Amino acid sequence: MSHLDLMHTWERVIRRSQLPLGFSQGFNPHPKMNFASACAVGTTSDGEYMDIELTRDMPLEEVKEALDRAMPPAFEVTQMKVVEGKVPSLMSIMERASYRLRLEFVDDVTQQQLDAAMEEFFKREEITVFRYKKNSKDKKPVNIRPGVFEIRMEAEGKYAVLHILVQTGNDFNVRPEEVAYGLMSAGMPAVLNVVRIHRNGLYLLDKKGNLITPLDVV
Amino acid sequence: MRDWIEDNLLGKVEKPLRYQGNEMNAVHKDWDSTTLRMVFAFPDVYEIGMSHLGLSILYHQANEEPDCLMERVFAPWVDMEGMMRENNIPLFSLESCRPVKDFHGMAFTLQYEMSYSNILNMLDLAGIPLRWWERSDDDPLIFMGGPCAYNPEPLADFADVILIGEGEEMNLEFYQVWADHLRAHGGKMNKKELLDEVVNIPGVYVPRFYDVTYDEAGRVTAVTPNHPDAPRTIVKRFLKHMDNAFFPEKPIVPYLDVIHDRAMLEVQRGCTRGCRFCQAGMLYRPVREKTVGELEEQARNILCNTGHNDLSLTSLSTSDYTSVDILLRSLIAEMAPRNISVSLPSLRVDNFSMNLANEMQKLKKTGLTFAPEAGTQRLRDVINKGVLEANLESVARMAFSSGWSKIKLYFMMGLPTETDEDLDGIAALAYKVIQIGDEIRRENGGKGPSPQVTVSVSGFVPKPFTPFEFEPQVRGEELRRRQRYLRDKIKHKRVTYHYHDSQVSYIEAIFAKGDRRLGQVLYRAWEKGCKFDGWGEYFYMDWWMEAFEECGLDPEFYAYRQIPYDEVLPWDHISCGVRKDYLIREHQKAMRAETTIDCRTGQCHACGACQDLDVKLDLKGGWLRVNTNAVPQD
Ligand code: SF4
Repeated sequence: MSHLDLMHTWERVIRRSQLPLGFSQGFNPHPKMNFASACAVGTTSDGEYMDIELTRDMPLEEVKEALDRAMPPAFEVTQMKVVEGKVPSLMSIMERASYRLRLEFVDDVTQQQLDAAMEEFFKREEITVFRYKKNSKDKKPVNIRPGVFEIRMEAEGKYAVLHILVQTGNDFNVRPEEVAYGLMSAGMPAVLNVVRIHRNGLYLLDKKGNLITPLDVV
Repeated sequence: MRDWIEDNLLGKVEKPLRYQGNEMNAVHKDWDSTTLRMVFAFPDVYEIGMSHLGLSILYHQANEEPDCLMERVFAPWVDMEGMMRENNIPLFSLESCRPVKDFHGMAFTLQYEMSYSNILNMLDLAGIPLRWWERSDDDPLIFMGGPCAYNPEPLADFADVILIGEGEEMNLEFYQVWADHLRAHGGKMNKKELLDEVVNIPGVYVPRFYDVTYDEAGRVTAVTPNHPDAPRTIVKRFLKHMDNAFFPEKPIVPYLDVIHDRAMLEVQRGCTRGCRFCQAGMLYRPVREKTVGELEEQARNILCNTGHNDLSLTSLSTSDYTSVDILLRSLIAEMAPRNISVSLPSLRVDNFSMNLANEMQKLKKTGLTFAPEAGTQRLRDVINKGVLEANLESVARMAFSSGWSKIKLYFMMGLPTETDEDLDGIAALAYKVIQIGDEIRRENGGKGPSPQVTVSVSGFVPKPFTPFEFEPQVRGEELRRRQRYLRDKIKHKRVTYHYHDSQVSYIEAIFAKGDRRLGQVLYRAWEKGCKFDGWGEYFYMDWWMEAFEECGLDPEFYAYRQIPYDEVLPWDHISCGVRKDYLIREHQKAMRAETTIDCRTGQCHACGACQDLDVKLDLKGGWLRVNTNAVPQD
């Protein structure tokens, strides 16, 4: 689902729920809601965050109940907290994202092949992938290596499941499929198809460098 | 099947949400506890189909029946189709992801002729033999309805049943006979027996129960029933009143942005202005309005169930609704505080009150669109478009003074009797509007953006059941000359000129007025690869021309012939209520450039609709007041 489709879907959920949603002032009023980070089209996710502003205080249970009633089948609100006063946008505070990918290879792969590619990947200082420039057909090289923190892989015949932890946020973003391409440049056998991408969660770092969720902060 | 498709195909296609379903308010019924299982097939992509109100009405109506189940399927886009064929995935329904072949029936809606090739392609993708005589009792029953079903002859080889008229009125009756049949046959169909039963339902047309004869020139000489119960004429079914008619108050809310991404509320059905090119105006007679109270109630419920932030009041001509002022004011008063805008899809030059436009504008800024349709008063009289130049000028003046800066004007090219003078008129009108805009801008001290006009021109296609059904389409070469002529006339840098392709409208004209023999042409064209003909990039004129050639049929015979009044038309055995003699009278008046006043003024022209169908105009606000300045006299 594109970011725009997601926003519209949420606006409708909140309107159906009859919650007193706040609107921006001006000629074209926008509902006051913000998302942590856009998921690419086709990616499923278990860990999304959004904040919405209501025009009056309401007990959380009531808000949750209203949302649950208005939710389309594929959506679920798992946790909520009240945020008071001005807070930085969710988008700007996120630092890490974890994903699970399923890769389909041209031929069967072994665990050794995968482990070797991973080792090589972390040994290098630069792993270059090509990214399309905005609104253009040109590509530019990007070094994703500093933005990749963890990789785990399990071979399953022609398939492999990949768990990764990468950087996200306003400054630098690593896209999950780029890690697969990067691994190929580090010697992993050729991937035929990235079958499924699933986002497990989005995180911030605490002072000790541990992963925490936005809900742990407020 | 769903998981496999999601894992292996959807990641690689454009807009995977087209194939995923699971939207808010989609109906997921239990397969085993229903008797009759159907799939509504829209022969175009998801976004177009989901913008279509008819789908929503018929889908939800069928699913409210405890023993019926109706799911949806749309034409997969070319990328998805390629992958489905490569991986042997048959056409599958959105709700339960089952092969379409597993359903008892497949319902196609016929909205425009250029989607016919998609119907064949969808049947093929479903693994269903295309022609009725190739299908067995285990294949779904293929039934069709919608505006193009009034001349369904080009599809006679492919359809088992055609439903003539308004679905809300007749479909439940049809489903019940069908469900009883299934119960009596242990859940199986005996199509021969089933057709013997349903042919007795008024409005049901079974093409195979009729024989068509032709003369040596290829003209139809007779359409004769060959089944004892098949009626000589199939008369449309329709709702006598729109009050209490079924209307879905919990419509599906797509995740994907669709064309009309808003709540749609139908305020009335029918239009009796009598524009002579307009097929819908004849098919949906007479006018039947809903009450303001019912509309308010429905609006409230729909918005509450969908969460849309825009409510669109739809119909052929919403600003004609007799209580439009009251309705709009009350809806706007209720919706504005919730940041919900109210809009009308089409505005008419002659009756639209500028105050209302301003009220709507408060909430949402959209360009203003007008459809004078023709460039001179003479030609507007020929087509009976009751718009005077003075109307357009005063509306343009009001629009610019109220702060609009962009106006779009719609015209048709190739209307009967059109000359270059009429094209000059189009250019002159556009210049006039710009001039008015410039004057007003000057009066306001040159503030704000400069006025802009878009002239959008489409090729005229003569349609059955209109006074112009007898008329030929203007030949392609001549149309292209006229396009160039007009383009050279419009040289203002703030007037944009758009023209829609004429080749597509040629094929459209052929199929609109076609007979049964076109079934072979359609089949050949599909074999060559024709599909998505309405989408410019996939339209291949050469394939169509080859198909005609190979079938030994002359396309010009269908599109470019002046048809005499006494010729049997391929659709003469179907009736929409409006009589042929009325169409002839209207055609004669058109040739004399005489106008016919809207019968909502109280002046009935005996078109046949009210007389033969035993119905009356249902106007909640009383007869239309005749404003001699705005409406041409009879
Ligand atoms: S029969 Fe008369 S009143 Fe009825 S739709 Fe026709 S012209 Fe109008």
